Amino acid sequence: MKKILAVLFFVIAAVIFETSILPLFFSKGTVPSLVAILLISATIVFGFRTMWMLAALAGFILDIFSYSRVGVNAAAFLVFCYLASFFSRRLLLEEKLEGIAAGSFLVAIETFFYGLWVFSANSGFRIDDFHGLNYILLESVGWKLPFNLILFFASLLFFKRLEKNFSSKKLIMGN
Amino acid sequence: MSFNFFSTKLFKVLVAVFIFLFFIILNPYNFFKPIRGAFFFIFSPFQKIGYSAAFEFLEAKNFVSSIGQLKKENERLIEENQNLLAEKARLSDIEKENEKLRQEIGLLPKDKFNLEAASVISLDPYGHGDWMEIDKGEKSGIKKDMPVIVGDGILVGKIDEVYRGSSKVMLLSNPRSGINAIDSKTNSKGIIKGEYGLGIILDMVLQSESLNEGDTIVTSRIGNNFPSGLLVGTVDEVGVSSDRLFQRAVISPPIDFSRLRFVFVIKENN
Repeated sequence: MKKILAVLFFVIAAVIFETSILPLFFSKGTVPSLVAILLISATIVFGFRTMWMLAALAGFILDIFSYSRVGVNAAAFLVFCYLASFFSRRLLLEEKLEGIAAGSFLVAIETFFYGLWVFSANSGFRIDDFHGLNYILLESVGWKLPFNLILFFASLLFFKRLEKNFSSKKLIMGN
Repeated sequence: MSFNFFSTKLFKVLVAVFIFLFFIILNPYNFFKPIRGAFFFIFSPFQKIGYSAAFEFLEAKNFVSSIGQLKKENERLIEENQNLLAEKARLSDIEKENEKLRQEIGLLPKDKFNLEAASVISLDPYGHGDWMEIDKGEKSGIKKDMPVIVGDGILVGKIDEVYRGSSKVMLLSNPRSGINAIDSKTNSKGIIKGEYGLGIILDMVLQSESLNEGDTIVTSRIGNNFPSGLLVGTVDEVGVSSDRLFQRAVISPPIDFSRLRFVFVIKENN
């Protein structure tokens, strides 16, 4: 129960951080996708089976706080976490350079499709606003990607350490 | 061992995504409104703390980075102060004249608004919908479509959704804003709305009407619940609509909507 409450607290804290704090530090449309990136890096470290329900829940909470249609973020996070689960081995075990390339590719896909998805789903899948689409894809995504990449590798490092810490604690307890 | 598709992670994802897609397409927005209201009721104090702390941090950062400029700024302000004293004397005359003119054309004096001060507690993180959230709602008498201003009457947007202790403000830069406005100099009428990448647009201005760069755009009384004369911004660039039937202008607002801490909701005109 304690664990569930702690996780819920972190999810809500991340959502509040994304909607109430980050928009002040970044110009319009370039706010990093904090919750999405945290979920992706956590899925890479902890695995899809641990993360998929949390991804849906975090998406639902972000939908609520960001006045989006319910399901927009939840569906996107589930798909991203599913995709991220295929990158786990590559990022954790293989050569550093390949890991960085694979991670960057994943974040680039996330940034591009997340912006597109949120824009079109929230506007009821209207495809007549080409100017809006163009803006989201070129200007917004272009600036957003570097921030998302930095956030991704920083959070990946954090979750890796967290997992190492937990597993070493488990070993000590076991002994 | 046989392969069971129904226990795969792909199956789980597909089922969950289909359920969410169902919600997205049906969009039962009002169904989730009580849940939204409950979330905001519980967490809006935390949002307010987060937003205020971030705002203070930004202010402090700006202050530290501008220390070097303070001396120059001080000298400039002293000079400006002297000029302003002279300007003040001149403006007091104009004020009387302005008051008389406002009465003649039916504009309301700005100090006659019944204002409700509110703190901004969150902003649109995507930059699409262009909204902000404030910490006042039904409890404070806020209602849908009430205008939201800053300063002495600079229009920010209008109330879009109201919850018990918070409200969502649709900013002028939102493509759905649609507020009637006029050019204060030429009286050309148009509709203010947002456009991605461009900011605020004055659209639907007839080709026969005159629109010039630098003109001031204010709200009009026609078709609005808004008081007339609220400042929207100045004309930055004049062009024509894609169908070439109307003129449209890019409007430069006097303030940055993403750097506001306090706003005022006009509850009614006294």
